[in-house]
Amino acid sequence: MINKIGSNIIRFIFLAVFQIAILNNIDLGGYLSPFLYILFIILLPFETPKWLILVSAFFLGITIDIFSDTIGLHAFASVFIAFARPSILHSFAPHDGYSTGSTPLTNNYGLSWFFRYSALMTIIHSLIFFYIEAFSFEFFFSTLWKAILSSAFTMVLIILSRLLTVKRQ
Amino acid sequence: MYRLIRLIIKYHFFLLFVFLEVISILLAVNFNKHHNTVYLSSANSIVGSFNSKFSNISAYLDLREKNEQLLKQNTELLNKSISSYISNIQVFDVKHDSIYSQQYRYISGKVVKNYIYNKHNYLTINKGLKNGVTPESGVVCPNGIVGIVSKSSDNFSNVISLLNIDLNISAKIKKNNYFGSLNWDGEDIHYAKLKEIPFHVNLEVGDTIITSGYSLIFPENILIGTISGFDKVKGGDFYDITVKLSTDFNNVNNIYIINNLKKTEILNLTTDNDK
Repeated sequence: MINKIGSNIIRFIFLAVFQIAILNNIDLGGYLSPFLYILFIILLPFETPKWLILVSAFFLGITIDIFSDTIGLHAFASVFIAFARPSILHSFAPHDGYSTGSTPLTNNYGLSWFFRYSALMTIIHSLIFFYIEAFSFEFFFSTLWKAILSSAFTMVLIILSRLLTVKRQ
Repeated sequence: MYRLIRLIIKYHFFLLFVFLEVISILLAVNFNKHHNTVYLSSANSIVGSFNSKFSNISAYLDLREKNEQLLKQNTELLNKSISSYISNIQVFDVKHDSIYSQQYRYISGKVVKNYIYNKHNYLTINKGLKNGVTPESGVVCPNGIVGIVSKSSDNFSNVISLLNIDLNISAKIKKNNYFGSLNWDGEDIHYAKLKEIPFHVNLEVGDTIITSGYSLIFPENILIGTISGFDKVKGGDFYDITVKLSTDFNNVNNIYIINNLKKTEILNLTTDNDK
């Protein structure tokens, strides 16, 4: 248990630093901005208390916000997917439920299960982030396009990072 | 009271969710829209110094291109400098201090952070109050204009980027001096819109757009871009002109901040007008 807390704290710090130092500085035509940091929320263990998911998502979001000059936006989107996570996990649950003590990793329930779950989380996050950022529906289609491209890019990074870690284990 | 507590415990997940989202929205509205942020923005010196470390590293990646740009600008400046000219009028002794007085002062600086993904974009630069940068100074780079300083801390300043849909800049067409206002439409970071040019003006694709000098912020004749297309709006009186910006916002690093030394003098005049 303590081991799990430690590894999640390390993941929190690593993903936040990686997002701020590297991903925030990637310029690809103003349309692609990957948000790999939400991998932290995706990978929290199943038994994490619901309130803890919300609070840690809020702090992760606000950390990214402070360093990106977007105070409140990442926090809002992160808290939203943290709120949606239990229901999404519930709807994707296998027939016999999730085994106790496991985490939503690729090697536990398969790559296709992980892909569907994390893709839904990523798309919800991107849509909310970009529409809150634009703060209107005036740029409806350009915002939608931005959200789709960015979440696709984020998914590529998430799957890549999962494949790398699975190989190492 | 006991039932209330039981209700809160029962719905704690949803209530906490609503609470955190309300905080986020309040923060977003207070800090992002009005940008009178003193506490948490990157003009804050801790975050600012952190960001300047990263930009120091990334500045190495395109040194060659930056050097070429600077060389080009240097030669241009050398060509303009008084030492490159021989006076035709040998009779007169030119005294710069009595005939000319300096109106604009340039301060060089570097971009520490640059956002181009949002509709309201901001930059952070590594010069602040200590270096003489004050809010409402103009910011230009060797290729064109960049934005306007919105607030300054001791060592850093926050700049409203030209890529901010709330920013309007007074611009004119170089060949015939008709002026209008230039504004980014939030779409492509390479193009902006020029408005308020009436239909009777002759336009051609490729015409140069420069600053008008009518605002107190930018001097006249700073390059903004070239016309890449224009349209007559039905039922309107003004052209819808698309301007290709000369500044590549993907790649802004070395900048100059422009201080208008005669600003208070001009402001005093205009406030007298209003009375």
